[in-house]
Amino acid sequence: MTRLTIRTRLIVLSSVLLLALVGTNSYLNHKLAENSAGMVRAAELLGVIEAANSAQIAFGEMRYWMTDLAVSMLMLSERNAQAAQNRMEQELDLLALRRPRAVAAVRRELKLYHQLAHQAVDEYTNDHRVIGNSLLARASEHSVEVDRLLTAIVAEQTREAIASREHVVKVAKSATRVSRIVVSLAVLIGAFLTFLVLRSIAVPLRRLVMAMRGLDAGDVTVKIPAAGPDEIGAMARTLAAFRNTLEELRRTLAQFEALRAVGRAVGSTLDLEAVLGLVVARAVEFSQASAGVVYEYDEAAREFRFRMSHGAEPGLADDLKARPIRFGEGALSRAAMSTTPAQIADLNDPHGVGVPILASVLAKLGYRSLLAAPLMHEQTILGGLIVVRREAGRFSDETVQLVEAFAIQSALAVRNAKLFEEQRQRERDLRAAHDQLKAAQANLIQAEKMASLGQLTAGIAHEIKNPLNFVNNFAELSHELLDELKGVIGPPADPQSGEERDELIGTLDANLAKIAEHGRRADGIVKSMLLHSRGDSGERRQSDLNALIEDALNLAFHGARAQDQSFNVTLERELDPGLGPVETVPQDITRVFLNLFANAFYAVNKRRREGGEPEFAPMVKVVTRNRGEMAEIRVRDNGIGMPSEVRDKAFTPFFTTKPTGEGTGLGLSISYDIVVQEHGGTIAVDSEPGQFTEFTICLPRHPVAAAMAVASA
Amino acid sequence: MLAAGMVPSFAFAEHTLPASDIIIAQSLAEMLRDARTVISNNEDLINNPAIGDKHLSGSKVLNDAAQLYKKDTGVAPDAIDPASYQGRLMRAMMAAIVQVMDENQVTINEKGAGFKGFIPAVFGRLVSEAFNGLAKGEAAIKVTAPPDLVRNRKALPDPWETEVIETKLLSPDWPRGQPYSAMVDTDGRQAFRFAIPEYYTASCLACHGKPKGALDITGYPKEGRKLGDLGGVMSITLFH
Repeated sequence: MTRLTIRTRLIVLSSVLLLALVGTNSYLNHKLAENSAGMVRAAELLGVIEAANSAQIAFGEMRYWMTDLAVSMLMLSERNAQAAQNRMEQELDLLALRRPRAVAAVRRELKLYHQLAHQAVDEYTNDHRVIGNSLLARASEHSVEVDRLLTAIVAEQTREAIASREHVVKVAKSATRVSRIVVSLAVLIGAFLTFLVLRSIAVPLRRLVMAMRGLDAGDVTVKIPAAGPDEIGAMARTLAAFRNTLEELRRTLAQFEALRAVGRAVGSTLDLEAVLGLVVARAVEFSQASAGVVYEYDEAAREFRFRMSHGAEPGLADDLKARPIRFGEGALSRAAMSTTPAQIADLNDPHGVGVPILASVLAKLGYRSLLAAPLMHEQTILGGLIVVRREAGRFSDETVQLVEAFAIQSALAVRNAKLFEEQRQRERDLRAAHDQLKAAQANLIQAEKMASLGQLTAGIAHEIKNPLNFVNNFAELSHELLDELKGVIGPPADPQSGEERDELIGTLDANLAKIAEHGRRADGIVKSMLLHSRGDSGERRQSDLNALIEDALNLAFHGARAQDQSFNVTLERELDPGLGPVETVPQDITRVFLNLFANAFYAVNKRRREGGEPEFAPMVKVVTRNRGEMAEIRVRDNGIGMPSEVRDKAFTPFFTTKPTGEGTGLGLSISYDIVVQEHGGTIAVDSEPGQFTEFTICLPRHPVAAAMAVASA
Repeated sequence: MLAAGMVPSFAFAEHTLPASDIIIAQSLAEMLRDARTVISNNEDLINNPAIGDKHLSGSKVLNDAAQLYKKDTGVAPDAIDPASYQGRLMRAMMAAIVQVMDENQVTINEKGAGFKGFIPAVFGRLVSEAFNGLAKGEAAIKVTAPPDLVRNRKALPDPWETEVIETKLLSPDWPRGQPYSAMVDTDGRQAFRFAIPEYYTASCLACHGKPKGALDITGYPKEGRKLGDLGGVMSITLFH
């Protein structure tokens, strides 16, 4: 029904009703005509009967007047008789049309009667009464015959009329019955068709009205009835177009608002994370995508790196983060090269232009299509904005333009952020340079102080060394003298005095041993001080690194203990006995070891004091390994560790994390120079903040050849 | 057909005829009219239901009529020579008057009945019929009229009378009251025929006036005529 237009439906309905009406009418007309014919026939028969009756009546009147005339002789009677005869003739004329033969017989008899009756009247007029009576008697015979003929006509016509009437009644009953059935059927069918037609109009019209009301109330999600080919369908299509336009306007307005919000955010904040988060969220929302990713372009590495995502699964974000997009690969690179958005309509397409791995990852997660827009500033690539959908197919031009607009906003944000970051970096650099300058200045002062102190120390050590030599020498001498004394002294007077004597000698000997021991220790310290404070001698020789390590470790430990009496540490040594000699400048290498050990002790002590870890056990471990042509030394502590930015700058001159005055910032820098430049070795650091720091030094056994190799490399 | 009061005319016909025929015809007509006038004058009496014997015998009416005749003509009817043709016919007329009156005494004297249908016209016809029987072979009188005004079939005009009425008496330029006479071959004999026009008077119109079709006292429809219309023709035929 709804496939027809309303006009056609109404025409069909009207036609059906009209057809039913015409059919019914035709049938009724036919029956009516048949009935009318019957009626006409009956009427004709009745007319004949009436005419016959009238003729009979007129004949009766004529006969009466003729008889009256014979008696009264009044002209009125004669005229009346004539008038009756005229009427009778007229009736017979009518009757003759139907029953000519019978009427002819009547006329014959009538004529005879008329002749005789008039003759009788004439005879009466002439006073010939007997003759008149005779003639009138003869006339009477004919009048009886006329009566009989007319009565026969009436009877016959009455029979025919009854038959005709019965036929008419039968036809009328049949027509009535059939017409009732036909009219009932027509009414039922008409009502049913009318119901169908009205329903086919009213129902979609009501839905349309509801949809219009919904739209009027601002509900663009209102369901608009399916558009059929009829007029209501046209209205529905128009309404749908209106709804779409309204929706489009709203969407456009929302997009405009979103872009405005993004623009406002870009202009009002330098929080790149927030801005990019807003941009990618809006881009995903308004492009009706499932997820979005912002990439940042690393010019140096020539690759796009994941910056952030919206709507992406955590695993996907990790995958994207782990797989930068190399410039030249995928839709993002195409977009960047062409400076216009590029898209992949089907990520499952093996002949697609996506990054195969990424496309595979996205496809596995159910994403089917991708749109990439470059973040550009002039001709500089800043990054890219990618939105992905779970539906295959090309993105609409509108979506492409929208994502491009968001990409432009993103580019502005990135550009602004970069500018701001560069500005801040410059500020930081300047501040750092300033701080470094100030630190260097302080360190120079400190270095100068240390240099003076070194000289002073060397002087003092030298001065101490002479009396210390006396102490040591005289202690050694006293020990020897004590041994001689034991030989000289005879047996004791009594056993008790002998025991006391031996005990005293023993105690004395022990004291002398302690004096000698501590004297040697003091001598070692002084030697170390002299060694460290002495300038670069530049003398290379085969050195026992394990021994140098022991000395330096000892010296550093005491230095640390000297600064902090509470300091303690577990020293672990895995010194390779087969390390073998290494050609070094011992003072310088010892300096390196002292620096490393001092730093290690500082780190573990700082963690002990500031870490808030009651169970913390400071530990420094030194390992040496024979690596063939190389000797490897590892110094590992479980101190505060170093963050990467500190680690990166660990060997930078004047860089220090120690409070001003506690460090010069030159220790590791000098160590680096000594190891790398002076000995042709390597020094590397590995650290985990709060966990450990480990320095690894590799020293060639023949530093000249190695240094030359390093220099040539 | 014409009641008393009708103006008699004695004008002669245009043709030159024997004076005796005209006089005879006129005298017979006068006598008949006079007798009719007597009946007319006694009509109320005749129709009076309260009176039985009206004393209108044949002789009484004849006597009254004779007086009127003498008054109008200066001659008493019984003074005419009974042996003459005129006298024989007058005697027949007078006998006819007596005969009709005597034959209708029962009707006239019926007590309790009002209108008895014995009017001047009926009287004139009955007298004419009686005269014709009495003067058979010598003369005939018929009170006729234009055909559409004839009430009794016996008074129908014959062809000659019809022609005279239609071509002469009803002619607009026919002098009022002038009779028409002619010698006409009748039933194989020459006869003197004399037609006297009679016009409606006021008393005539009680039965013949308006409204046309309304029944008069006799039960016959009125003809709707007006005063002065030709209402009747007295036709007299004299055989020689």
